[in-house]
Formats: sequence, C-alpha cells, structure tokens
Amino acid sequence: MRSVRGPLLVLAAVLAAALAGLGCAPEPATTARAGLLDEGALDGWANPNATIPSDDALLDQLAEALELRERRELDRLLDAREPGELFEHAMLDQNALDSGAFGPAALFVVGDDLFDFMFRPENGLGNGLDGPPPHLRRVHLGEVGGPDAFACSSCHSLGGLDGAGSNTQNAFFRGDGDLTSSADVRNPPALLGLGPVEALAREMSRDLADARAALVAEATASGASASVALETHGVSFGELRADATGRLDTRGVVGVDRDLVIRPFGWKGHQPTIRAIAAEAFRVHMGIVSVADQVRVARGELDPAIYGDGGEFDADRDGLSVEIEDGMLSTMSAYLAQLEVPIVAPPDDELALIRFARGGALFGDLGCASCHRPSLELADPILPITPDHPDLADRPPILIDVAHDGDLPKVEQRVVFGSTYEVALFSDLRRHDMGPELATPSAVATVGGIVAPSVFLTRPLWGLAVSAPYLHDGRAPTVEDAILAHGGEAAPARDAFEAASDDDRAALRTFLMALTRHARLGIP
Amino acid sequence: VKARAALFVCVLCSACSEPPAPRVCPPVELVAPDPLSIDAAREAHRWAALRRELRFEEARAPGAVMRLTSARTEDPDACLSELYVAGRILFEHEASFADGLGNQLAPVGPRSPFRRVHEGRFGGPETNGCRSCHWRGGIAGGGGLVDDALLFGDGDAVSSADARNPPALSGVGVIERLAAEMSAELAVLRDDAIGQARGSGANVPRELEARGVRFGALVAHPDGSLDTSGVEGVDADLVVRPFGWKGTVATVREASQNALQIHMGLQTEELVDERAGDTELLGTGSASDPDRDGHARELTSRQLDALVLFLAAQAVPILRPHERVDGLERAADGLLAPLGHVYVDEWIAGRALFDDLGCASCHRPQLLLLDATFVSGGVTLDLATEAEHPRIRYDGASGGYPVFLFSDLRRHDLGDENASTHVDGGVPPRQWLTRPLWGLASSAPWLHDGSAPSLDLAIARHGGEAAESRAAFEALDFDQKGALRIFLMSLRRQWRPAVP
Repeated sequence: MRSVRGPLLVLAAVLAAALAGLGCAPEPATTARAGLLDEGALDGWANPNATIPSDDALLDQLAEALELRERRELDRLLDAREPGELFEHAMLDQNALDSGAFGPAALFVVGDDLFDFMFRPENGLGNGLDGPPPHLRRVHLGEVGGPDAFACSSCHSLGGLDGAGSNTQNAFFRGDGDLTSSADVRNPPALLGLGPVEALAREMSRDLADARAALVAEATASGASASVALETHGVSFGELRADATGRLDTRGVVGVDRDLVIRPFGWKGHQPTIRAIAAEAFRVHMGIVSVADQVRVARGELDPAIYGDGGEFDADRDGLSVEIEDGMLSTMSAYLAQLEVPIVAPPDDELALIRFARGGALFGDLGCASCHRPSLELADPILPITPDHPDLADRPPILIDVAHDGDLPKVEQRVVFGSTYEVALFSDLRRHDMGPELATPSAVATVGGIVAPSVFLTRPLWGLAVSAPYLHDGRAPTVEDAILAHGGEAAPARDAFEAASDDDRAALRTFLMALTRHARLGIP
Repeated sequence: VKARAALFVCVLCSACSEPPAPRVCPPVELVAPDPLSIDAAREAHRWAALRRELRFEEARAPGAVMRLTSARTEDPDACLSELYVAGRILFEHEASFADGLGNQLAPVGPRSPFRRVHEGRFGGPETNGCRSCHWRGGIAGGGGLVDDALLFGDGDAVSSADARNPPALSGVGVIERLAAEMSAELAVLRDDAIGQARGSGANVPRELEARGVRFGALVAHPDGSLDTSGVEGVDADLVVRPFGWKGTVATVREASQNALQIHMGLQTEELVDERAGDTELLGTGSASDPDRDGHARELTSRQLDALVLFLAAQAVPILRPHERVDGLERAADGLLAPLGHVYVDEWIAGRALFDDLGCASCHRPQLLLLDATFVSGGVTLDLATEAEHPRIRYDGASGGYPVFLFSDLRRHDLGDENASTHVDGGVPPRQWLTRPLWGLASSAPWLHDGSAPSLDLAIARHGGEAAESRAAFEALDFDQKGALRIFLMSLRRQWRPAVP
C-alpha cells in the first residue's frame, strides 16, 4: 500500500514562508555543483523553499517504491520464464474471494497488478467478430469498441499512477472502425477518488429514491396528485410529480435519469458504479468480456450485436471463455475504490498565494461553484462491492471503507468524530446542458435513459492541474481555453470570466492550478 | 533561505535590477551517484516542486515557461546543467496557444485544435507535449499502443496512415555519435574508391563495411560518379540515419524539430529557416510564421540546444542479469510472500541462444564508439563524463566506448507482415532499421506499431530476413524459450525514483 507521511497541506508553513518578506538579492556565489542533475542544478530555477520531505521520509518513500518495483520485476521475470505467471498473480477469482482470506489491502495489491497488466491474445485480448483476434482498432467499431489498448495504465498514467490520459490517448468511441471523424472522442479522466464519488452517488440516489417513495405514498394516501422538489446533498434535480394513483410524472426531473439513479462515471455520467465502468472499459478498450456479461448475452438480456454473438462460452469469438470473471472485476473495483483523493496545494510563493486566495473567492463569485460544487458531504464511507453475475447475487459484498482503506490521502471528516466526510470534488454529480459548441456527435444511452449530445456530467475538478488537456475530447490545452469553451447553462459564468480583469483571470487560473494530487515517489 | 525565495521571484518576474554575478560553471564530477540514493529521491521531489511552481507561473502569465527558457538559454555562458534544466522543462512542458501550439491554417478553426491522424508530412498536431508519448519506463521513455503516431495519413482515416509506436529516447546521444562515425567510415571507403577510379581510369568496386556491419558494395567510375545499386541497408549517400523506425533521421536535433512540428505544431526558428519553402511540412503561411498561428520563432535555436542536450544526456540502458529477489515479505495479509529466484543460469543460456538463433546478426550486441563528444548547435557534451548515469565507459582493451545497443543501425527487409503503408523518406515499405533492443524490458509494447504486448508476439512478427531466426525461436523447447526471454528482460533501464 502506498502511504503518505507528513502533513498533506502545510498551509501554515506556506503562510509563514510567504510572510517572511520579499526583496531582491544578487545571485549567490557559485555553489558546489556536481553533475547535470545533482543537487544544485535546479538552483535559480526552483523555489528553494518548496516543501521537500525530510530525509527520513525520503528514505521511507524510497524503500517503499523500491519494494514495489522489485515485486513487479519478480513477477515479470516469472512470466518471462513461464508465460501466464504474471496473469495468475494479477487475478483473484470469485472462489478465492469467497474464502474470505483477502481483505481490502490484499485486493489493493492484486488490483494494482491487474491495472498495470498488459493483456495478450491468450488472456482474451480483443475479439474475433470480423477477422482474426485480437483485431486492434484505434477507432472503435460502433458499440463493440476496439480493442485500442493492452492495459488500464496505457491511458491512465498522466500526472501519476491511475491518472488521466493525454490527447494521444483519447478514445474514439462509437465510430466506423476507421475514420476519426466518425467517432465520439473522449479524453481519459483521472481515476483518483472514485470510491468516495461512488459512495456519494449511492447516497444521493438513495435520497432521491426515498423522496420518490414518500411522494407516491403521499399521493396514494391522500388520493390527490402531489409533487416534490428533488434535492439531495444540496443539489437540486427538479421536480417529481405523482397523480392520485401514484403514477409518476418525471418530465420535471433534471440533471439525472428518470430512474433517479445518480451515475457519476463517464463524461456524460452514464455508469453508476466503478464496477460497471471498469467492466465497460475492459470490454471496449481491451475486448475483455466479463463472464457475467457473457451469461447475460446467452440469456438474451444483452445485445449480441454489441457483446458478440459467439454464445455463452465465447461471446466475442476469440477462443477464450473466461476473460474476466466476477472475482477479477471485484478486485479491480476494490482497488479503484481505495485510490487516494486529490488535494488542494496552494502555492509556496507569497504573491501566488495571494492570487490563489482571490481566485478561490472568484470561483464562487463568477458562478463556477454553482455546478462545480467545491465539496459534497458523505455520511457513510462504507462502499459495498457486489458480484454482478446473475448467479452470484447471494454472495456477501466486499466492504471498502473509502475514508480509510488504501492509499492516502483520503476524504476527511469535516469537524469531529461522527460528522460527515468532506468530498472536495468540485462537482455536483448532476448533468447540465453545455450548449451546441461542446455537443458530442452522439447521444449516450444509460440503463435509465438517454444523455443528449450537449449534456454532460459536471466534471469533478479535483486533480485538475495534473490532468491537462481539458474537456471531454481534450480540445482545451489550458484551463483558460476550457473555461471559454463552456456554453449552455455555463454561459453566464463563462461570460463573467471573459469580462473579468486580466488579474482576476490570472487569480482564478492560479486557484485552479492548486487542485492537484499528492507528490508521490515511485520508480517507473 | 529568505533571500533565495526572493531570488526565485526576481528571476521569474525580472523585477530585480541588480545584475547577476558572473557565472562559474561547476567542475564535472566523475563519481557515479547511486540512482537509488536519497539524493535522487530528493531531486525527484524538487523536480515535482519546480513543475508545480512553473504551473503557477504559467497560470499567472501564459507563455511564461517558453519566455523563461528562452531568456535563460540565450546566455552564451550558460552552464550545461542550466541548459539541461531548461531542456527538461521544455520536454515536460504542456504547450498552449500562447506558445504557438498548433496552427491556424484552416479558414475556420476546428472545434478541437488537435488532429489524431496526420495529414501528409505536415502532421497533426495530436498533442501538447513530449511527455504525452514518451513516458513509459521513466522519463523520455516509450509510448503505449494508444500513443502510436498515425503518420502520413489523410487527416482522418486510421487506415490511410502509418502507425508508429513512440520509441524510448534513452541513449540517443550515443546512437547519434555511433551513426556519425559509421557514416564517416563509409565515406572514407567511398572517397578512396573514387580516388582510385580516377587515378586508374578503371571502375573500382568496393565492399562497404563499418564497425563490422556490411552495407553491400558500390562501384566508383573514373569520372567520379558512383553506381550505388549494390548498396544495402543505408541510403545511397551512405549516411547512417539511426532515428525513426525506418532510419530516416540522422540527428537528435533533426528528430526533435520534426517531432515538435508534426506532433505539436511548434516550429523552431531553425526548421523554418532550413526548410523554407517546404509548405507541405511547414504550412502555407508567411515565411516567418508558416503555420499562421501568430507566433514566429516558436522555439529559439538555444531552446532547441537545451532540448537536444537534455535528450543526448539521457542515461543509457543497462544489461543486468537478475540476481536476487529474496527477503520480500508478503505484500498484504492473505497473499503469499514471493519466493526467491535466481535466473543466472537461464540468463547465460539465453544470451547464448540470442547468438545461436541468429538474433545477434542484426541486433548486434555491441558496437564500438571511438569519440564520445556530442556536438549539436551550440552545445558540446562529453557522453562519457557529462551525461546522466549510467553512461558509456571507456574500455582500454578495445580502444573505445563499447555500446551495448543490440542493433547494427542498418536497414533490413522484415517481410510483408511488417510492411508499412507508405514509403517513408525513400525507404520501401518492408524495410526497417534494426531496432536497438537496449532498454527493451522498459518499453513494452513492441514493434513499430506497438502491436506486440509480449516478447513471443514480437518475435513471431519477424519476417523477411529475420524469418529464419523466428523459425529457430519457435522450434525451441519450453525451457529454452524461457531462457531467451529471461535474457531479453535483462535489457532494461536503470531504476530511478521519480515524482510524476
């Protein structure tokens, strides 16, 4: 497990340094420098006051990174000697999980390996639906997908492990298999903080479902039509009506599907759980079809035109039956749910710190914060991960405590023990219309409805600074470009930003560049 | 400490009126610091802190990084270490429109300024920085399958383009020097043949060989002209071009400028001058701003010096048999502790098989470099004493610097199974430069299009001249194949801590 030592936000130290005063000084006499890269080479470039961990902390970090690296190396050598070993080390099947021997820490370790594992044809990479497998395809063929990648880490490494993707890593969804212009382009988002996000979404969905149930009960009991303003965690989702028989009228529902399930994953918010988006990603990017999906195809619950028409034991016709079974998906989900959350790290420099503070205020004043909610409150940090194979519904869920299990930093309690957890994600987990300029070529279907081309989930902004380029298709190289591309419901905020002074715009940009992630030492 | 904090601010905002003291460059150290030392860990954090500082500075004043690196590299007395830092900053920089990213050639701008499939030789641009595609296995590493560049296309269809997997950039300075020395050897042979032909009045045939690598033969005519139809594996001009999957580029400088143009739309002043009039490559704008984005001299020659220095100074990969993995405890409750393994016997057997199977005939384990001085533009770097560790070392017995490159820097026919869509720089579809295998284990996936996620697949795709070796590998038994893979996995980069 990758841990964090030392304080996360050394705001006090930053302020102290900033208050220490500013003045000009001549360049110091040449210090003893050694090679191109030894200490000293950065003098005059970097702020020497930048917070660098203590020597003790550095040694700990180095030892930890080295150990992880050695484990990886050993696995790779075992696999070189006997191909297949690596894959075995990166998987736990449902039977193994049912033994109860594996806690969150073990699932983290194995999931971490699986995340980095390069799938090969012998592991079920790709499909044989129209030509010999794996049939790599950079532009996806309809909903069938690619495959366009070998590993999760191929597209989620920018800014650190489990990070975002660059423009070259954009996915070309729902295309004709060849023309980039035929496809719906998506930039890979960072995966930090998915656990708290799913837990939040579940809470919000539960609240909305409760409101719906209460409304139906009220209408049927009173024998008269009734309505309720849907609101949860301070976010409004329009109005729900019910007639005297309890039949629902969802035309007033906004920002969420009519089934009132919050789907926080995907640029348009089309998947409700880490497990669902992971299974989708395995399938469309690597051609790894889950056993649960194969069973559903065989039972007529899923479309063979999308999942493959090869039947229950090899839906995607690549000669492999078990590509990713429930235990593996549970492991991957448990791993992702335990990842760290991004942080806010204000600048060390005094003037930049002042800009940062003003930028934070402007973020509210300009209207950004009305959708990019700085934080939402999570009451229950326990996230259940359940198998989705129809025959495994009775298995006990794996419980992940998203506030404690896995990588630090984690979401923290607002005030004292017993209070809610603050999830500083800068999103309302609600969909908004972003106008025609940002609209995607295609609408996206969810279990609960259709997300229109111009509609997107409010993108969480945490970790923003290390996830450029921005927007769903990575068209914006800078935050400034991204802000100016906002339209639709965000047009007033964009106009306010455009009308702001150069200084104010610089302040807002500075604030946004403080939304980053913990600086973690690793050995690539 | 207070003064140094202030200094940083002064340097960035040029608010300081006092001139800096004369610069004295440090002596070059000769003792290798351990890449896994606490100093290396501290430095990794300092780089992360610098990146953060620069992000804030860029947020304050867009274009700041380009201006800063331009200003700091203009100084003709800048130390190598300072140029190196500037080069690394540029390599890691995420470019913006303020820097000249992209172009404004289309009458109406596209919604996204990026274009994943290149249009002809002009390119995309498809990204905003070098790191976007050179990241796997550490800094200046290779790219994944998704990072493949789609070259020479129609701007839209993947099928119209040639997919090229971003190669790792380790040791490119050494490779450039090796190729230059081989080119010089070939030039001597050619010039000597011409001299003899002129003197004797008869045709003079000459076998071409450099560093033990054969490049066919040429015939010199008495009038000084050449018949190069027998030349093999290199262009008729006998210049060994070691960069690009097809071996079409001779220098790090040229490769960098080309990459900046086609992948980012960043035009160096040198490229704009040297290739003036090449509208297919540069665009149809004005002489000073061919890509019509309102930015001329998007990178100065000194910035390019810095970038090239950073790349040329990259460490060379290592060749290290696996020695120990004992003492590792179980990673978490429920998991087994890894068993200790020593693969030295397999490694020795694999190394022998590499020769026996014929792999080594193209993937030459070693080439000898005679002069370690790397010169490009205004920078000079001694690759043996000033580059990053690990670096090449002088060997008295051989009288030069052994380079464990695992390539002959020559082109070979790899068969129809590898044929490219386009002729690239005059190189036919089936021909490819022997890919250096050093650093192999750190740069998966493999092959020119990154289509091989395993060594077996990569070997299985070898055709043409390599077909016999492929067949020989396939005929091996389980243990022998394992041994060869163990050997190949020992070609890797030195581990080095990094803070992304």
